[in-house]
Amino acid sequence: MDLEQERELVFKAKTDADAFGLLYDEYYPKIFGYVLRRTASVETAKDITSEVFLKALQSIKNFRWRNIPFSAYLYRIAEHEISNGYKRNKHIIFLKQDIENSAIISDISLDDESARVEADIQKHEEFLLLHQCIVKLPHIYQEVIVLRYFEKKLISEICIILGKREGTVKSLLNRGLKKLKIIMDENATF
Amino acid sequence: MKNEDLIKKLESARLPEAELHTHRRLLKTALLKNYESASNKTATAAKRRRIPIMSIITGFFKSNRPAWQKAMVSTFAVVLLLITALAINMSPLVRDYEAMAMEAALNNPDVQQIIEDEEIDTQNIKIAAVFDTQNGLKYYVSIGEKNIVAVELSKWLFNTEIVEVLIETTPVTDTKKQELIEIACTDPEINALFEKGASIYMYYFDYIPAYLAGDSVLDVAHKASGQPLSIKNAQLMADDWVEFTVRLWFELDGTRYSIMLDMLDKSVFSFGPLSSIS
Repeated sequence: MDLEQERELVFKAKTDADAFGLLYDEYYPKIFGYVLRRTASVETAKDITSEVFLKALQSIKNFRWRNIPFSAYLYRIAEHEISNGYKRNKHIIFLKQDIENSAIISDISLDDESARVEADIQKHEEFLLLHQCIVKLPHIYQEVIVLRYFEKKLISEICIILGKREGTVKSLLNRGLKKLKIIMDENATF
Repeated sequence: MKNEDLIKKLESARLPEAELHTHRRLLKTALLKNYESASNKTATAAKRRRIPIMSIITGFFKSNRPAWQKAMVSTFAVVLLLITALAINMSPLVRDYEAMAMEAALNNPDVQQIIEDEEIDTQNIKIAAVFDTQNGLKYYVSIGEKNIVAVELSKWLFNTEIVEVLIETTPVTDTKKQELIEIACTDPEINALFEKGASIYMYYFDYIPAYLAGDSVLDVAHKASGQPLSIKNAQLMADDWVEFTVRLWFELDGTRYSIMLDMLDKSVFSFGPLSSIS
């Protein structure tokens, strides 16, 4: 989807639930994947992803298009939730109950699905070891490293997501890598 | 471990795309079921917050109040506007821009992180240089010996904005200093200033990662407005970043100057005096 198509879809989504659904379909995998790689926890990734889309829905009518991808806005919400220590709000509790009730009615086990993905993650030992080192970094370095190397974002895209200048992002990345190297060198497993 | 190895490790260790199909489907259903209530709640709250100032004003003037009351309110409003306008015009005289720039720098979370990481004493945080810009001033605040923050300050909007947090981690050796002076002195005007005894008081190195492309990598990066990521299909070839530009600030007889050196061409990219620091 190009930026112009996305702008039209966001505009439609202000009054049309189906258009919001299309935005959701486009970005759920990216946001869920990002939060999962940032937190390495399926449950947290589920909750934060739900929170991100609920917040996006709550603010869609007042959303002002600023010529930046909608995904950047979603990443920012996700990053805010991760950095500020995610806390469930009352709306998300209702939403979660809604999801769980639907699962019971459809006779589906959400826990089985989560357990399967959790087990998949556990197989990626190298990722988990790296993740353990990355989470020791201050958040400002964690986010640039994950966006650059796990999410494969360009510096220009990271600038938009984080709302920082290119020089700042490059400096943070350079500095973050140096710090990560020190942490990894201290860690005997690498 | 080398930088290159670390980057390879990071790139290879990423998790494959994982997705919870059921969660995805059920969350979508729950969101769309709540579409009306969730999206309207915030929109209504925002509408409710809007104060109908225009309707209050027009209502007052259309009301049956005596004419002297309306005239008094109008006069009072005009006087208030004049006082505000005067206050705005006067305030640049009393505002301490340097302190504003310093405050903006110190309130920046990235800067706070650097201060904490490097245990920088507040005495080592100084205004290093100031430039006049179209809309206001641009301050360079040095954080310790290696880091610089650029703060842009708008005179008319009374606000400050951190435009860049630049971090330099390589100490400048005497040999390096000599090399930089030699490059700078290829410009006859700069050469004349150094012959008169100009001395450099601050350095800033801007780095780009070393990339390998089809032809000359660094030329590609340079010609594409200095954005290293505009290089297509490039491969990381070195374990460190390469010098891209160096900014030097020097002083002669109380006048401060700024030079930007292009380290790829080993030439002077820009040069000019700084406005004096008040």
